Amino acid sequence: MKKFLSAIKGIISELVFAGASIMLGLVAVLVVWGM
Amino acid sequence: MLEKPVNKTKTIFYYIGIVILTLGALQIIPEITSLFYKEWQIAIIFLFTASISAIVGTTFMIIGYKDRRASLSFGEGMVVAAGAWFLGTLLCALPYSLSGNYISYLDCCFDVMSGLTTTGLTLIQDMDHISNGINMWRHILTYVGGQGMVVLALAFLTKDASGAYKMYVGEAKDERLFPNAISTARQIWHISILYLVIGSFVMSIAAIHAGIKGDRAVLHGIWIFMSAWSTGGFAPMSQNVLYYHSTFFELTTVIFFVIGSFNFALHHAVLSGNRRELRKNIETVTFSITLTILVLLTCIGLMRNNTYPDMAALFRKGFYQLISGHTTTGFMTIYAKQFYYEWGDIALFAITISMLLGGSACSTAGGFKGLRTGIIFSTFKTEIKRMMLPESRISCQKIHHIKDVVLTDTVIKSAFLIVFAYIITFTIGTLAGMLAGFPFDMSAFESASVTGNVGLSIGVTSVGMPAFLKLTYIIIMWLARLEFMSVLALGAFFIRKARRSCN
Repeated sequence: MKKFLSAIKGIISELVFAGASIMLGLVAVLVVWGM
Repeated sequence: MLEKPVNKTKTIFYYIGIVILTLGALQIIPEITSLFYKEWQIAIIFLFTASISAIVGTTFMIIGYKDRRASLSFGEGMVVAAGAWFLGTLLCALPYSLSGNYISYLDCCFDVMSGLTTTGLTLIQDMDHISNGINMWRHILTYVGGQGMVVLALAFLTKDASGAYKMYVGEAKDERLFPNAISTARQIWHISILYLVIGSFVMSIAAIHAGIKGDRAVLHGIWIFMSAWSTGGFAPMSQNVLYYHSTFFELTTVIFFVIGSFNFALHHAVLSGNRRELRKNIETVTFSITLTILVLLTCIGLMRNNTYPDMAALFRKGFYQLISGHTTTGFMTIYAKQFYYEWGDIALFAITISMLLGGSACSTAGGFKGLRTGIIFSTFKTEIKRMMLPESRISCQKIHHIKDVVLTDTVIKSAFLIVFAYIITFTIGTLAGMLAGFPFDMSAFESASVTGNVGLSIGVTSVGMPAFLKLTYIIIMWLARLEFMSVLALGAFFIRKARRSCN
């Protein structure tokens, strides 16, 4: 059960990181557009 | 009494046989798909080609059965990996050839190599009307190729292979998640299958949201996930991801291909509870830095060129192609020729560099890999620091990859050597494109895509391109996916055999 929960938390962390890279791209686009 | 000496060539045959048998067994999946959709002709083709793979694989195993327990050297492990990829490509191309969707056997081999190496360039005819069975086979190949066909054979068809780790290394995967190579291979597959279940479900919902109905949505969900996770770039429709015309669908693919480009050692660490590794790992740090710089550069280029009228279009088109290139996925939401006619030099330069840099080591991605890029930049930083410090001061170069690692000269030399090999290969690919009559920028873009196993196309790859260019691209995809050494070991193996038979 502990291993399963750890894997689920791990998957969520990876999804958040991938989502953060989209945000990073969005911010970069915003910066260039705002220049 | 003297024991009969072990014939290592036969041991190599035995292991190649196991991989070929695995590839034959995999054809059961498109076979079932064809039967389910009543595509009888395709079902017969898969039955026939799976039998051929089974016969070839079993014959190889019988030849090497007596010598199967001999331990293999690193070189011989590499020969197994490269040999299995070569023979596997020829055999996996048979269903394509018999389906009538390709104009030549060379085109079939091109598509198989493109799938297995997770490149994603294709020479298929009339893609929008091909059978579900063939489509399933295309995506299975790219999914298996991402994890590695040797890794698959090690995980499920071997219990005790003395040379397992050497074959595993031969397929350009050198991270040990467990001390045992077979347990490592199994863990790689456990992670991939866990994500396959979650990802296919999410992508199916995204497909329904994009307007695909019923079982088609499920099929598209599975196929697109397989392609995204493997950083492959294949899609069931000729317009690739552009076909779906959905921002939600596009963003979902980004999430899965970014995760797919992570190192399996990182997945293992994060899924085992070490979530901080995501922020500290040299590969994720390098990826975040290079991604930011290259997105900025792409946007500046596209803005100067007035390519897109608003910020939303700039993000959806510019950022998507860039991150797709950087993770070596190759999903496209624009037409190939738009790169050449609309993107301008700066954006094309940024995307070419991103394709060469690639994703993480020991992942499904291609390119130089974040680990090597990180090591090279860290070496430059250390050398500059060393110049500033007194000569008597001894400095130690460290990186964080799962744990703190002190960089030795051997590791640094290896990183530079592989990156150098990629640059040479990229140069040869560019030259081949120019010899075929394409301009320099188009040739360089397509060569970067092939060398990085990416799959973005500027329009060079087509059925009409010369046969020598198709063959050059096939060899480059193979070399780059196995990170050169295994293919060179296979070449050396054949030269040595030929010399011995001449003497």
